[in-house]
Amino acid sequence: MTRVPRSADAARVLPARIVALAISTLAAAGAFLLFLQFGWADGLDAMDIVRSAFILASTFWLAWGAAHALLGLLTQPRAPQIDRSAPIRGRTVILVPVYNEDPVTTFSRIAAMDMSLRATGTTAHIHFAILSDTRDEGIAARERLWFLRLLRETAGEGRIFYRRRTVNKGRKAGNIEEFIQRSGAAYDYALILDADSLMEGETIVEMIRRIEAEPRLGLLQTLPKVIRARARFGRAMQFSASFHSPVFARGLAMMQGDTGPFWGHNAIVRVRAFAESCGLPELSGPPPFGGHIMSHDYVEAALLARAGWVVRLDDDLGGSFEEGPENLVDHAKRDRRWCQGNLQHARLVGAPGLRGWNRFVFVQGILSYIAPLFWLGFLVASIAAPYFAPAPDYFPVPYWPFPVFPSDETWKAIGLAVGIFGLLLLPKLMVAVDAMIRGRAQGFGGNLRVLESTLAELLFSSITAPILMMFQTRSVVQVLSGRDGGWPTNNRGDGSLTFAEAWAACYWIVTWGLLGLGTTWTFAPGLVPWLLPVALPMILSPLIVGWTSRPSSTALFSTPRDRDPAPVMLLQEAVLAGWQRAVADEAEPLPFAAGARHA
Amino acid sequence: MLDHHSSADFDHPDLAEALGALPDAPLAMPKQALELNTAGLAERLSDRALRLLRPRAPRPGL
Repeated sequence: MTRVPRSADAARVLPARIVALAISTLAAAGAFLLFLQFGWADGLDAMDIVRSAFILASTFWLAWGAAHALLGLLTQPRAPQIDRSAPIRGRTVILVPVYNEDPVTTFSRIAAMDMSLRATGTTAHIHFAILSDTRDEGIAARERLWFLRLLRETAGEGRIFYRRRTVNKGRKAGNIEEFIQRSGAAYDYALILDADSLMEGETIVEMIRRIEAEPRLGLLQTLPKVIRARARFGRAMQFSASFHSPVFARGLAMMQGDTGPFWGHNAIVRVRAFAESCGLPELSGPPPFGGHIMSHDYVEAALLARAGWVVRLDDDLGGSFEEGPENLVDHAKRDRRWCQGNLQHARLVGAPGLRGWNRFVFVQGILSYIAPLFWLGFLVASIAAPYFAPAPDYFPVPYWPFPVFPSDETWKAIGLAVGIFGLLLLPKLMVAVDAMIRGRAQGFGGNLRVLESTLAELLFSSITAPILMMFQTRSVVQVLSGRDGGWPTNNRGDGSLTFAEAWAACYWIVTWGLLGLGTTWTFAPGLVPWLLPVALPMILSPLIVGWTSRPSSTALFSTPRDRDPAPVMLLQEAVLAGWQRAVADEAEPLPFAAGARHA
Repeated sequence: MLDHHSSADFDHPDLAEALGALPDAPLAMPKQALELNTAGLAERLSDRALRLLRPRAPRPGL
């Protein structure tokens, strides 16, 4: 095993970590002191300290995110210098785990990637393996049928494999582990995908070259771009993932160095390193904190780093795509699973031998789900605060005949609110300005369109943030009360929701919004204007969730792939269109029927 | 290629599994230690504490 010289890595990443920590600590301390002074104006009480503590934690978290953007803007993506003329010697398998997915769509992606790979002219030994964990017998039967069609159309026998597990032990991580235990020795590298992943052949070949050129590299992660969003919610997320995420991810890459992330898909691993290091045990005790490790990817990255392998994010690599949830309810369902997985990492923070950054990543993941509770706590404490405030003492000096009024510190609260909004808005505005200066905005429809999309996305995320806060809070409460979220299938179809469906998903948020606003109106009417930006979206959540799930008809949130689809996207569309015609013609049950075989 | 299969083959329900069979090349994937051994840690800490508390023999010359 090749060990990474840790001191060299630490020296490279330390300045970025110090800058991010300094920015976050200074912002949090400033917000804490400002709010404490505001609370102190009418006499300090316990609730002032509680609220200041919530502000401290929330501001630190916001500033930490802003620091990622700031660091990301300081550098540009760079491809490593490697010899691209050398023949590829290693054998690669592209793993496509599926779980109750639509086989027509999923396998059309495989056909497209296979065509894209062949178009590169590579002579590298590259196989595909479809690893089915599908439980639904009807879908499994269609998988077998469409696999045969995939083989026929790609002439893929001996290159494209299909196996279905009868027992879903360990979910996706267990699915991949079973493959490695059965066939891992046949390959040097494994490109791990999700069912909705799509990658350009050139990108796949480049990833193989990079992992082959760097013997210390255990895992290479790409930054997948969300594609094919149609709904308003999906398009806003797609724009954000395409426009903002690369900058934030670059900042992250600067801080993590060789202990990079693994996001579970669109990443290539060195099979022997993965096999030696990443066998995941079942945690003691029942779910949600015990049992199988749900968010296995972060743990696998930590285990590779523990064993001395480099785990790297190469944000310069394009041609890596995925699809995302089209509506807020599907997003919340996925987030429920991630929430459980991240909170489960609390069990692993103290795992023996892990690198410090990996432990911090676990803490960071936990905080990302706990942070909304800080804001909620701040709101609740603010509503309760008047009952803890000491009675005003207008004659604090004995025998002094004139009253002394407490100083008005409202401007400090306003200043603090402006500062917090600044932390929320500024990073995205900085990314927009940077894109305009460097010309990246052209791919997103030009400077004006980028500005419009950025402002619309800020408005959109401000309106949806209280709803997401409620969903996250519910997820955290469910996990902490021991409820296992299971393993729901991802809904990747058209995500339009009727009002009844949106109401069924959100009525409890409406109830809490009305309760919160009513309580504030009764007990602390002065706070009502401050609460409205949070309470109104909650009360209107069924309308917001329903409306944002509908197809978008504006040119806002335009991305480069909308305007200029990647070649592999076009290939998949062509394959899928042909296959869907077959479904429409009811030819699906007999893809290999005599006479139809060479149609 | 598939062309060497007769059309009757395609009626066989296990054809997909047969044609898609993965290479037989096992690779061990040992389970990793992830949970902190708190019992072991407590034992190590108490041993260390006991060693610190144990009276030491006076150094020669004192």
